[in-house]
Amino acid sequence: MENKIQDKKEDKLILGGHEFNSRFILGSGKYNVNLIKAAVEQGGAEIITLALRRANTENKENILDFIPKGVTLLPNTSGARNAEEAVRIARLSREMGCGDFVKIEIMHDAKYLLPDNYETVKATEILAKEGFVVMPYMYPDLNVARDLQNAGAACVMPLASPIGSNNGLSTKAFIQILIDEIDLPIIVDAGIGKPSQACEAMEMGAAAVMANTAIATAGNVPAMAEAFKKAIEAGRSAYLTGMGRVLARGGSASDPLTGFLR
Amino acid sequence: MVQINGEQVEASKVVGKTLLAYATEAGYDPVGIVIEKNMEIIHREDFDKVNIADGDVIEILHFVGGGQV
Repeated sequence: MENKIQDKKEDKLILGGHEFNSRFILGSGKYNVNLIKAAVEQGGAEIITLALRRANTENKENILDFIPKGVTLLPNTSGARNAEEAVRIARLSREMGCGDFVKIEIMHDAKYLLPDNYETVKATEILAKEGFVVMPYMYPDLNVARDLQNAGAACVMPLASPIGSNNGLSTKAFIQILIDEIDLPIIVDAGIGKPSQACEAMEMGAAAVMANTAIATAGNVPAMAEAFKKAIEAGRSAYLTGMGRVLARGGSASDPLTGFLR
Repeated sequence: MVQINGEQVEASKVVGKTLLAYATEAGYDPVGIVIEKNMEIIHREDFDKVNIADGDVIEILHFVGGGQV
């Protein structure tokens, strides 16, 4: 196998010209804001996702106060049902003054929460032209991934399984096609339920993994964030090292078979 | 009437106030919000220059925890 390790220090995730050492993107939903700092620190995450919602006057807690300095904020367009709404949310999010990153999420149904690839391509095209670092969440389809690349996406974020399901790499074969064919970071998003699944995605050559529910619904949120960090790093190292070969049939001893009893 | 975050507000209570004055009086933290008025983004530096008018549709938004959906 080819050894892809050159200099480990040079192994950066690059998104829209920005460099990251961590390949773990953390979601901030479904758990207490007081745990966010510990989860970010234990998980080593350098990117965290947020959502834009109506403010209220009762709870003035500002989530930005709970996110460690230096972490890149990745607002998503959740709630958008079409490209127009996603663009509207993205522009409003940018107005918060937290940078140009946006994760496009466009969906119609509440049962499967599957992304609308067509509307996602349209939104990507508009937002990339406006200078956003566009990170589109999509159903893994090679043709759509090419369209996203042509539209100016900074990466492609295929789903592993339906959002929040913790069901793992249901779309493994199709994500592999994207990794092999698309010259952009492929970031596996949605459905990753365990560190082992995150590790597997990284072994396949994914550039990063995004997780939220797996961590938010764990018994100990910061400890699970750390477990994900280790799994993602292990998977990345394995990918860079070049995986050992797999035999189609039979075995192959790793000890010499002769020299003592035979 | 003025619509603020989906709720109908009596015009006499808010018309003529600046967005900053309204937001502060209503109890929003002006630092952590973005405001959209009639589908247009109002820049933060203009919160104290733009007045609320009868018939306005205003959205006052902030970031919350979110990952996927």
